[in-house]
Amino acid sequence: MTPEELAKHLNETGLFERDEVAHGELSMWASRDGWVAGAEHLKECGRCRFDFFTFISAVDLEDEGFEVVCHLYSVRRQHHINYKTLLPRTEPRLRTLKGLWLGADWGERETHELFGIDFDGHGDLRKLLLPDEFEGFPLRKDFLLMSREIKEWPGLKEPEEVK
Amino acid sequence: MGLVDRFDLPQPAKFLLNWGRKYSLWVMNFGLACCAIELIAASTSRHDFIRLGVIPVAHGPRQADLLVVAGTLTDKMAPALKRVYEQMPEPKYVISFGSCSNCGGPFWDSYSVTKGVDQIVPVDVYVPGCPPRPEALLEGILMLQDMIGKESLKERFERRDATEPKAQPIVVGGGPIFQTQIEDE
Amino acid sequence: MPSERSAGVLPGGPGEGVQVVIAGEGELATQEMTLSIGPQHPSTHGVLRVVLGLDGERIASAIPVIGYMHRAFDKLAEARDYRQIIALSNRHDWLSAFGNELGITLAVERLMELEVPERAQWIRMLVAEWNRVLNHLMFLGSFGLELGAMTPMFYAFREREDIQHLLEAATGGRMHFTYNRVGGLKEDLPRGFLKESSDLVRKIRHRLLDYEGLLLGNEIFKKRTVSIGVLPGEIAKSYGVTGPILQASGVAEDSRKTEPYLHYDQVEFEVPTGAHGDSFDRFLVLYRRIEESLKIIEQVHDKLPAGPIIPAKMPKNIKPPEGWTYVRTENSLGETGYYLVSRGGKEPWRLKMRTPSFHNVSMIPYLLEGVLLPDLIAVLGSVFFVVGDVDR
Repeated sequence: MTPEELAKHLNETGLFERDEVAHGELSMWASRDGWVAGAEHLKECGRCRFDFFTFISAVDLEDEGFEVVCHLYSVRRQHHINYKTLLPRTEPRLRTLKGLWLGADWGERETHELFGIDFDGHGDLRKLLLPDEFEGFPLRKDFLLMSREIKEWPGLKEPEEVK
Repeated sequence: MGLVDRFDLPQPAKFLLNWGRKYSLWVMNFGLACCAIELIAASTSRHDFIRLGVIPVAHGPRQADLLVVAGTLTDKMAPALKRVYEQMPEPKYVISFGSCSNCGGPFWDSYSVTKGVDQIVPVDVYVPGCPPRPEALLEGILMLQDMIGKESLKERFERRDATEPKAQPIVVGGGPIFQTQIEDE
Repeated sequence: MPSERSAGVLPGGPGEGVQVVIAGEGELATQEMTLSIGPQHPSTHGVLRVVLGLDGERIASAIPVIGYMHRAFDKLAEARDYRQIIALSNRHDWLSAFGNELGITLAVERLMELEVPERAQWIRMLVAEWNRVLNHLMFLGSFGLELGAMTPMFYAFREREDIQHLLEAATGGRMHFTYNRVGGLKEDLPRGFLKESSDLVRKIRHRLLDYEGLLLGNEIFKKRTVSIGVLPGEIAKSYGVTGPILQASGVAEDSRKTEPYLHYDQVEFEVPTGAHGDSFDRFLVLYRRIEESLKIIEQVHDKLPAGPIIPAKMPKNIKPPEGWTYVRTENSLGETGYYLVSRGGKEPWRLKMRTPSFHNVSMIPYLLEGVLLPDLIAVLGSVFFVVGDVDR
């Protein structure tokens, strides 16, 4: 189905809050509590059939909070969807999608250690990429790269500007 | 250990022993990232560092005398590198291959990269490049062989004894080696 | 245990003080042993650590521990502009570096709605397919090496040297090309490139027969890989596995066919699939993909148009407009995708690199359950991954 048709079908189910089609791609936002219900529909519905798990990650939108993005694909119907939800910055928790797609396991572990988002029901949110002693959530916007803070990168200025 | 490292040998003997050592290096491949592929390419038929006497690949650090660290070292991997380096017997040499192991390279501002392998192990030769051509590794090996040719083993072992403590045996269950009681549970 | 006898304490000599207990018939108590393989190990393709729980010779559980090559690409990308990101992204799937760059340039071009000149698109296809051959040759060689066959490794590197020499003439790099620019390419192909390229295609096609003789027909190779490490298609899709592994499990999913980018819809090639999803099928699919790539390269030689390789008026600072996009390309190991969120600046707000190796490695616990320890390397070698891609 084209993104517009898919958006129309999904809006009719009432499980999603809003949609947006840009550059030929579809994004659907669900509420935080409707995250799993919407995902179940995307997986089981005959016209959607999203059986391929592409990735799950998050975007730090500073004041608006964290936007969790889960990209899914359907091998049979050959359409994509960016399934998103917005979490407040003060309370970043979400239910896990581990029961629906096996790939969500590692994706959620990675999102947890890099952003600090808790996934209820996952049960095993150990560190995946970072060493166990690492403190802080690196991909948040308030985590600064120390090497850049200490000394400015010399390549920022053009050679003519440097005296 | 022996005469060689306790006394300053006469020049001809020193020359001969250094000559034997520099042309029979057995390399331990600590290839981590992209530079490892260029390291392997340097060991295959076109560039071939075996003609310099460096044999690929030692089966383990206990049998190697040259360690080539090729690729980015992360903070998570650093203890493993230290452990491998400590397992190698003296005299041992380290070549840092590629800009990531020299100084952090293109990942100089990353939160998880060790900016330079020389923070963990002492390095003899740095080979710059990203990745360096296999010919650069050949030049690095030649430089190392020059260094070994002029080396004095006595100074080397004196330096080692001054900095590293004597190795302690590891006893299962703890305690000194004489009092071992294996109880069945 | 009732039929246990104690042989008491052995008198004098070594072992004095050791209690010896003899268990009765069939009552040997076994304990699960934990074996940690890696991160520095000659057999794993880089710094991957696998913690095995062994019950005798059978693997009860296998947990990959990754992160030893985590270099924080996502965070570094937020501090770099797009030219620097192209140069940095190379370093992830280091066996076929061009594929990584391609995804980023396609993502930025989609957001900016740029028209990439025709010649640039065809040359991109050419270099991308050569990269695919480079990558697959490496895995052909290393899979053989892990099972004990040393010759294919040297043959593979012989071929790789020839291809790297060819690509170095065009791009200047042996491994990290940085040939793409947003909007097109850095510079045009040198004179004589196409002739050398077609000569090399013929040479490699002839030499591929060596691998067939050495490995594919080899009884030892077949015995060690057929029916070992079977991965069903549904599980693979749920994990997000792509590329030769997914195709070997019977799912003919290839972005070049389903959503053609560049001009893949104007060249003819097939997507080889496997019937059983075992290690042998994965290897066979890899081998056949090389042949398909060589076919594509020959067609590109015929169809390459003349023209510019970058639009005439490219801004010095690339600033894509505000928005988000996800672009996926069929890289050698599977689907490499970039989720780019831009806020109009010259650095991205968020750039997520979705790598195929991450998902390929995440299904190792499923794949290795119940496998015998001697078959561990045959299975691990058939899971095609590059550690830089896994950890980013």
